[in-house]
Amino acid sequence: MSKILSVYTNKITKKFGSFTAVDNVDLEVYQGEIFGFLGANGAGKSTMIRMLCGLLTPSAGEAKVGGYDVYKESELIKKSIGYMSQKFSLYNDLTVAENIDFYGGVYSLNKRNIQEKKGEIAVELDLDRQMNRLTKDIPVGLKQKLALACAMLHDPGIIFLDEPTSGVDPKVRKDFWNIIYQLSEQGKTVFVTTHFMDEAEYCHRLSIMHQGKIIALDSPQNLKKKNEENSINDVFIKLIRSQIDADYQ
Amino acid sequence: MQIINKTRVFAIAKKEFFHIIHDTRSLIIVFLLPLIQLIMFGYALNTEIKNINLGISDNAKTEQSRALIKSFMGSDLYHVYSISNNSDDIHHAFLQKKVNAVLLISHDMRNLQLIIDGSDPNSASIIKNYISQTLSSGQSIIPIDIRTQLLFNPELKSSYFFVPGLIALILVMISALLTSISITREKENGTLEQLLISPLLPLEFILGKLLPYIFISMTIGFLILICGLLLFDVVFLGSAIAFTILSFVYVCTALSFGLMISTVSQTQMQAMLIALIFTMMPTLMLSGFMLPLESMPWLIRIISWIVPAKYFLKIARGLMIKGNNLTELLEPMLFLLGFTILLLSIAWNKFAKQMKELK
Repeated sequence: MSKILSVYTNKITKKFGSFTAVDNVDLEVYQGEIFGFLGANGAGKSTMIRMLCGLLTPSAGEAKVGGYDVYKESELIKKSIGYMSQKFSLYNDLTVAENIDFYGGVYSLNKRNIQEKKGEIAVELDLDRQMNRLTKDIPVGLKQKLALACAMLHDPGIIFLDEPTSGVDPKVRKDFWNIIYQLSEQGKTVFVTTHFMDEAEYCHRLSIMHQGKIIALDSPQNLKKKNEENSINDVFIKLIRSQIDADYQ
Repeated sequence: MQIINKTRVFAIAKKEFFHIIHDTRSLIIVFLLPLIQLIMFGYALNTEIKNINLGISDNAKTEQSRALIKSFMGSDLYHVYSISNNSDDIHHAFLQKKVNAVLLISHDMRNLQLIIDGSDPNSASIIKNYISQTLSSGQSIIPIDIRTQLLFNPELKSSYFFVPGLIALILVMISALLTSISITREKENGTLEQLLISPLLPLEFILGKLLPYIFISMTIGFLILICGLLLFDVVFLGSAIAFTILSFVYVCTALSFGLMISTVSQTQMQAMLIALIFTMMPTLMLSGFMLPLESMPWLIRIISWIVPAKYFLKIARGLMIKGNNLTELLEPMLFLLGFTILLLSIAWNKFAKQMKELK
């Protein structure tokens, strides 16, 4: 597999006043990769993703997403990425079909295109008979999958998932990861933030964030091997503990 | 400067329209509330007085004086009683609320004295107006000369004054409320964030939000107008096209104000309160709707210049009662247009800035 660079950052930094949320992070992520950000709340995962999506302007450093510069070409970035956050982003008081129509329209898809996509989504998520139901009446897991489908209507090459599986049951989480693998096989780059340790194991490469810095970055297998631990959970605890000890001294 | 994409504007407008029609309860409230307001205000604000108890003491007893009394008896405004010339009797009649006013006709018909119960100054002045009008209409009978001519509203109907005012009030209230809530709701639900990631431009979002609400507010405007005409029997002398154009401008002003509110409020509750307070109070007090602006101190009169309802009131009264045409109402229209552009650009600017800095 030839490696095509999908996202690249060089010493990217974000400060909010005197607080540094992301501190000199370098990244190289390749097409088709599932790249995970693991870290506690406030470690800088979401800030990182938001900068890459063009929601936040970095304070310093360079970053390119899909070949576009985050400072100058954020409008082009917006057209080539998909984003789904932990917050539910569909309109509960609209029907499933109306939600799809709306997001299709926002990405300027034409009517025929939207109809095709609707058909695909109906088959894939087995939603055929629920198209005219209000979104608030369908199960949470299905809603989450629908939200992802809506974020993917314009067929983006890079997808950012900000804690996509918080608040859903294990069965749905598993389904969700199957979808993520499918996307990766289609050559899409997937960024995932999570604080579920078991989920972290599913990523191709994993970065562990602490206080705005990446303190470890490798495949889950290599991380376990290097740190002589059996699970990512233990690796995480070990790394964070040594980091805190180092800070303390 | 990027070019506005029509597909995206219509996507927002269509979605907003679905929000409205799915929410049947709010839809009913949105259309029913203005009607209830109209009916309540309409009957509560009624300043007409019927059944004035009028005591007349006729000391002349001539044909002329009898003709004068007949002119009062012939009107359904008065209940006419005969009363003696005795000041004690008159005083008692007032105390016992048997009469609201007493008319004394002197024996030589030269002098007429009118005594009115002043404990309610408002109705006293209305009664005075009514009686002097009846007197002047019967002036050919008596040698005294009173000439009053009331333009545009010869019967002094209060509906002529409150129906245009209510259209101004209800339109500004509902319009500002609708847009301010609809944007803060997206903030609260987190759906705004999803839109920020999309290629949607701030201006597209704002225009898309405006479109369906222009339609709804205009419908409400016509609804109040028609009900006002049917229920309270107001005249409408101007043209319907002029009304459509001018109320469109007014509705845009109010909706833009709602947009501006949504950029400063975080919750729907906050937006609702700001919208209600900042539309209702100035419209009631400072637009010339309830209280005449001419009698206010100069500072308040200056403040009234920025109350949009003041201009729409001129428009609505002009169109309905005076039969003004568009060119005669150009000045208030230009003011409203100016407000709309100002408010819209503030809202757009603030919103674009917020979209950039969203944490």
